[in-house]
Amino acid sequence: MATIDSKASGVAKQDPLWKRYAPGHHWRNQDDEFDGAKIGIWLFLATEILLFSGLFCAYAVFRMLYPESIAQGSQYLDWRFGFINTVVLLISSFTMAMAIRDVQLNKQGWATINLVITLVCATGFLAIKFAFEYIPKWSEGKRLGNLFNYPYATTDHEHVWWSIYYMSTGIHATHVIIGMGLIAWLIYRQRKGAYGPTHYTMMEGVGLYWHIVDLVWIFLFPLLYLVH
Amino acid sequence: MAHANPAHSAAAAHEDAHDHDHAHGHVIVPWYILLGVLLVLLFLTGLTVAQSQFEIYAAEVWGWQIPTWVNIVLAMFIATIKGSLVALYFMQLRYDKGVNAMLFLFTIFAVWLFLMFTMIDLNGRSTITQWRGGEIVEGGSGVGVNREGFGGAPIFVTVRENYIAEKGLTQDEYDKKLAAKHEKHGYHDNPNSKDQSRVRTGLPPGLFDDGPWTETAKSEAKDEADH
Repeated sequence: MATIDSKASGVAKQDPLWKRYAPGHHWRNQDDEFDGAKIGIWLFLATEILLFSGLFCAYAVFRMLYPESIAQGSQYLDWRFGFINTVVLLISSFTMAMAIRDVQLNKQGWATINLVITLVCATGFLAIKFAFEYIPKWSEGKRLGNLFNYPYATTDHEHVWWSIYYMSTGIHATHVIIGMGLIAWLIYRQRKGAYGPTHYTMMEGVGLYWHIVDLVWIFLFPLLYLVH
Repeated sequence: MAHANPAHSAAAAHEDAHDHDHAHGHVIVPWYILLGVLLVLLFLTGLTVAQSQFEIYAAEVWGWQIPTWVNIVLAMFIATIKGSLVALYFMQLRYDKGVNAMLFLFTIFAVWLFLMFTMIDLNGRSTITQWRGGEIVEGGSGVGVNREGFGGAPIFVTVRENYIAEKGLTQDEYDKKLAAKHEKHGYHDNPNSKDQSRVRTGLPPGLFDDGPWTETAKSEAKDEADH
């Protein structure tokens, strides 16, 4: 925001946004605000964990009731796609943590690069999921619940398996999409210089959310793809 | 907080000695720790995959029947280690104030309560009162989501019958297609023990048998005829 005066008199340009950040007046200092924000984010993550635990409980219940259908159903999934997706998400978690670290050290260029890599990994995850898993399966008729239309089923509760599969991975994919939106917002703000060594609360929050998304997939992958 | 200062000064030593706009007490995790955690996570992912592939290999080549619960317990154990690494290092629980870790651990405890009570209840449904067992039989009773126009048959039967009628296939043609579809991964041929690791060849016995729905259909037809 250069004014005529600053240009003319050679005044040093204004501090970046993160240096000019002032916490709300109800906080003693910036660190208290950061700690408070972090506790708030963790409380939200607690609700997210409980959301996914509902899906895991559904899996446990249906595994106990219809073990044949679950076992047969998991045969339809190709573990290689799940494996690639797991690797992609783990790398995106790493680059997210590195981006936060870069901002803490005021390496803004590297921070952008790491955030962009995180976004690319998330897009790759969704691309693999939709192109290689959802679309081929849905078009063959392997669908959830009442929409089930696969004529070569061999177990009597196969539609239950597909319900579990689509709901678990679908709700997880929704969280990935939401995370992508948040990371895109981070990139936009970071390019404007909003985050730096003394103020990076938003990055920390989105980072924690992204790690929970990764954590859930770490548990989903063996349960759905690997355990027969 | 004791370990925050060494990390702080280590990071300060790494960077040049300019005016450090450091947030007080915020730990900067060294990059080699983050990278190390990533490599361990990738290794553990590979281990999980190797373990499940080994189970299939052992069943098919050596005939070892590893119970299913072993597979689940091992996979969950490795997943828990991976999750802990992500929580401790990527989410920096190790370097944070304790309140965040307490929140996380309490949530895990809540999840455990949720799953444990549900599974204990389900497991003992028919033990105490037999009539409460009802439809909760192992492998299911074959009565599922119904689709209109087929009088109560399970949905997988409805879809199959519709498909056969639509394409005008004979039973043999359908059997060939069925075998071709499942050739790659096969299906279990020993459904008696749900805990058994399965050698996956052949059709499950009783796949095309009549089920409870035929009794219902017969009695309904009888009622119609009587009126």
